[in-house]
Amino acid sequence: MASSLLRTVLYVDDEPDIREIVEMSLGLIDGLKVHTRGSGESALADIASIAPDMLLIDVMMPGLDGPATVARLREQPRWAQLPFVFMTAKAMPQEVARFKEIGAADVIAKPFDPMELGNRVVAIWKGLNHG
Amino acid sequence: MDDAQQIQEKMRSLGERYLRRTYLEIDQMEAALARLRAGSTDGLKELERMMHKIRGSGAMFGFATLSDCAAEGELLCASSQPDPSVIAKLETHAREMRVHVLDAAKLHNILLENGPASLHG
Repeated sequence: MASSLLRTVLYVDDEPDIREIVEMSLGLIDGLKVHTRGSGESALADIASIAPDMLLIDVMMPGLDGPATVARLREQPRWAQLPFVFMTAKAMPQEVARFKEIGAADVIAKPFDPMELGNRVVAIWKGLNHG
Repeated sequence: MDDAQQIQEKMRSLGERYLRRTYLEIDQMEAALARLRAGSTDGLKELERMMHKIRGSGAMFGFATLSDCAAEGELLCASSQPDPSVIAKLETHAREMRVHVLDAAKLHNILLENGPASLHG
């Protein structure tokens, strides 16, 4: 059963500037710990030690892209139900629908408002916990 | 300094860094285009990814014209084969993107090339 409190988020994006912005934005949420990684591969390698409640992940990355990373994660029973949110500059309706079909809790479009990202993520989390 | 001011300052600082980095990345794009023009059969996917990143981050930092130009280049990479006409169009996009970077740098009083410090600050 998912925890009622969102405590730890893992953000994955190969773009270092965006990682900094997300870390800063989500850091505005009291009590939320934010981890970032620069690739799908490093996220897979470190996820057990990070143990996030939710994954935010960029779609287009070299090597393992967002969807491929999520697919690999979900092969592991421990992470099969981990809520994940894609972040992408390609957020056309048909792409959003596709991402949701593969299980994304939501899709956040880039550019995003750094002052509002935390509220959006918390709202997504609360929505998941209410079914 | 409150949260909003801190974020604004951080975004400004990151935006400067983005412009400096993009200026160098356009060199890499032009090198990739030169390889395509010389007959290399791959590279379009990497160009697409580079354009995608410039597009996304450009929009984040408010460099809309640069972002829009990168978006057009990205679409061209995604929907085309690397024939001479496509390569020529992408070369034009790269040149236009460089102009947009220079314009943005001038507007925001950012030094792009004046020694290593200005490039890596």
